[in-house]
Amino acid sequence: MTIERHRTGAFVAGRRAFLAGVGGTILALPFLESIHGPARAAPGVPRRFIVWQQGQGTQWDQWARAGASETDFTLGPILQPLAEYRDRLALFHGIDNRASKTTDGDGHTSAQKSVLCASPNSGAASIDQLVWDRIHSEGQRSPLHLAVGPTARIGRFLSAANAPTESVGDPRAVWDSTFASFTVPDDVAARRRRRRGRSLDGVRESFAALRARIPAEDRDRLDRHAAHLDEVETRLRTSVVCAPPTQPATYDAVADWTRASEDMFDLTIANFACNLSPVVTIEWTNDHDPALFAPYLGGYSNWHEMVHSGEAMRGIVGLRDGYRFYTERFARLLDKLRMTPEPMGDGTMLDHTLILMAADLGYGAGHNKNSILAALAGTLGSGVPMGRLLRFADPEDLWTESEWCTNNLYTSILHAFGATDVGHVGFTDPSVRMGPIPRLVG
Amino acid sequence: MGCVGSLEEGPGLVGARMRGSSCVADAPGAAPLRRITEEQWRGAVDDLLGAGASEGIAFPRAIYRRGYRTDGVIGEISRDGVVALMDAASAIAERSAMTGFPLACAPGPTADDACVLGFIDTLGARAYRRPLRDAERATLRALYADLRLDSLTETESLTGVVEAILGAPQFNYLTSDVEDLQDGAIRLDDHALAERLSFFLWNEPPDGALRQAAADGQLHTREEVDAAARRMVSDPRTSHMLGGFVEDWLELHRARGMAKDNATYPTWSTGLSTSVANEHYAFVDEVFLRGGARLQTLLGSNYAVVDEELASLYETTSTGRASLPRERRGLLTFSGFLAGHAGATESAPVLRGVSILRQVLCEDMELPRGLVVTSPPQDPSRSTRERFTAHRELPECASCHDRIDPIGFAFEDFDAVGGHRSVDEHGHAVDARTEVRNARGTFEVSASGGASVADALAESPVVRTCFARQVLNYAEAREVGRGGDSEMDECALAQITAPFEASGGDVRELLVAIATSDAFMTRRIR
Repeated sequence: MTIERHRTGAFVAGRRAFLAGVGGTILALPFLESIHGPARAAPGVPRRFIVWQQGQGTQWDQWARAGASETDFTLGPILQPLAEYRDRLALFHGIDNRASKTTDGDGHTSAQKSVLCASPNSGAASIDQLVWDRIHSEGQRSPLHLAVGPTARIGRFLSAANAPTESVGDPRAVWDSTFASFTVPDDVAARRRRRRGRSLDGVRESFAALRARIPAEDRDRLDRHAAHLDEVETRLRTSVVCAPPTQPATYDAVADWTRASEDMFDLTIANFACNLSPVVTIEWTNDHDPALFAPYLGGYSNWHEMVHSGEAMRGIVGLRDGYRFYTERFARLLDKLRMTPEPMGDGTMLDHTLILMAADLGYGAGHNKNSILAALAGTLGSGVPMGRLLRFADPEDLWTESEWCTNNLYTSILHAFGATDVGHVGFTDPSVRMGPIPRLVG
Repeated sequence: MGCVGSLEEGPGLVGARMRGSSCVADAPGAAPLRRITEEQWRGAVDDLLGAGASEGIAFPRAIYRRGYRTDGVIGEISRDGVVALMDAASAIAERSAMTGFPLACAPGPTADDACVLGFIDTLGARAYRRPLRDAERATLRALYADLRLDSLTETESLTGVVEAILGAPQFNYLTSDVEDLQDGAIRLDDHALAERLSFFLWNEPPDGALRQAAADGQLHTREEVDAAARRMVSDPRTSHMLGGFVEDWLELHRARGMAKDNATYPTWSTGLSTSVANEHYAFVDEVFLRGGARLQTLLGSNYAVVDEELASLYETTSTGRASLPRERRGLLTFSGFLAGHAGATESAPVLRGVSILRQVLCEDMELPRGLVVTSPPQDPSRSTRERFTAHRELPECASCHDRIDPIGFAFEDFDAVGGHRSVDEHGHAVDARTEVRNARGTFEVSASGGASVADALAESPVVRTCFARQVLNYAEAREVGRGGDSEMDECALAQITAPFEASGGDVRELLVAIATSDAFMTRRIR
């Protein structure tokens, strides 16, 4: 039997352009159920997770101020770069790192080896791994661990108890291990997109066939319907696009934090778009004496020394500017997520990603592990309100413990990803309450 | 009374003119291209791919025009609507692939496999509700071949074809074919009539009997269509369609999920509001299938069909079909209408009055240009009626409110959730006495209470004519008598009203009269 193509009129005009897109190097991965694992069965659950770990705590009076209610808070100068994202943030006063109290080492080491696993002495997998366990699907790689600063295995990120992972600070090395041999896969999502594209052409031809047979007075409305098919095509083409990024240039990534973080953000987005891993960690690995902060130091000999002095001199401008540098980069990451459209046009990548921002310490000057710096951005799932500052303790009160710890925050995060069967994360101890933080997720 | 001339013997399809209350010649309808509604779309998807095929799949939100969701489909579909429609097509096709397409044979590997081509032809014809035209068949077959040549599997390729069929305008629209154009009007062919009939009366695509009649060329004359329509109107699916019509006609969807002030109406709950929003379906079933199917009963029945929550609200002594107290009669005294046309804290006599004038008496009720709609200020020292009466002292208000308010005030014996009352929210005695007169003076009543006005409306020939017009609007997805050719529409209306009147207001007769009218069977072309 001879199969004859029937093509008429302008309705098929979009066809060639569409197929060119398919045949090229750009590939869309539009379909969520093939991207996501079992925890995603529930609609509206975040699809991806980023852990952002920065150094040295913060200066609370410059960070954010609580208001009369949890939605009535004010961003201080340090968080001011996130003003545009105020309604996509959940900030906390009073999330303690209780596990640090029984962790060996000095003020820094004890924090590092407990902050993300909520257990003493690197005693459990960190929250990035726990989320990955629940949301990855078959064939996806383990969390992508990126560093801004030198490549390091500090011990904050753990794939299991006592198994610290390495955060890679060279964008070129990340690219090599991730995209150098990357080929556009002919996976379910790619095939689906081809099917939908061709099917759309079939619909266009059906419109053309019908158009010739209906009264002239009906044609305008039919034509307008047909014209809107272009939007379907556009969404197919621009849905999360897996375009392997170009190989980053060679430069001193350890020194140039701005440029290195920019590359790491691009690699993060490309990793998500290409469906490689649903979890990325971004660790600022030099928080002691970054050369970049030299302009902020004034009379201090290094950044760490200045942080320690903060308690006595709240007004140190350089301290505030240093902390704000992190926030500016964080805002840039959110910008990039927001500028990347999701499959089928259901919002942007930011709409479906949860980002945990954390630091080892709370009040930097005291190197305090009560009330550490903790914030969430993006989404905790549809219907879960953001734009809140949850205040459980006064973070400037260095000695009073809060009711809630990282254990509870991480339990809430797992619940946000649909793992509501998880009763508790991290170590158990009479000083730690069990379960999620009330009213955070649901 | 009635039309002179007919499709078979008339001088031509165009040129109907009213002569007195009669019309001469035929009166083809103006029903333009229209998209099927959500309910019809689900019926069509399930018919094509098996029960439940459309379940849980989002459809573009219905657009109501002048209260009717059928009118909404005349309007242009939005960009987002098209995206949603295509996403739905894709999702349904994929799910159907997983559960198995209704194939009668095993597909072979070639792009022109006979089993596959046969399946495409059969499915296409069922979806388009008529035999495929050559160009349509070629499109679907070529699509399958393209997908196969693009190294997609047989199942993936069939999924693509099903997706294209569900996205095609032949599936999503009711159309008329210019090849059937004759003397300025299109005589719908057997297949087009079959789909009009089934979507109108059942909200579903044609069943086996209708498809067979169309295939045999036995759905063409008025007698043939009459026989088919009579078979269909005795089916519960027609009753369900009519329930949907009643919901739109009396704007009952307003009550769905409506919030009421908890302090004033503590009994109003999610459970009660759900009962209220669904009540009319059970009631219409009762009247239509077992209660004689008369309009008088819909508007003036002394019974309702109630669950426990409604029984408590209506003060009946039983559930199921239950006798109503004297102060409650028919649909206009049910909570769906009364609560839907009320505020959160008080009754809304103007809303109730406007709705009855426009929907039940077919009075022109356009909002004056520039009117700012407000309620009179709260004043616990005066009754609702006293507060609303004040605006009639202003001449610019009185011209409309002299007509609106008397009807609305008659229903003041019902509160904002549809409970019967003798005192209002602030403890003032309710005054529900009224003198109602419509603009043309064809409906007059002196009464007290909503039930007495409902009784009068139920018996009025003006209301019967209006009802016939409203059902024709619904069937035709347009406002009959608006725009050009209004005289021809009036003629069509006369054609369907006569048998309705003659039957004493039997709604089944009205539906058959519409199905066999010139307006339904033919389409005039401007």
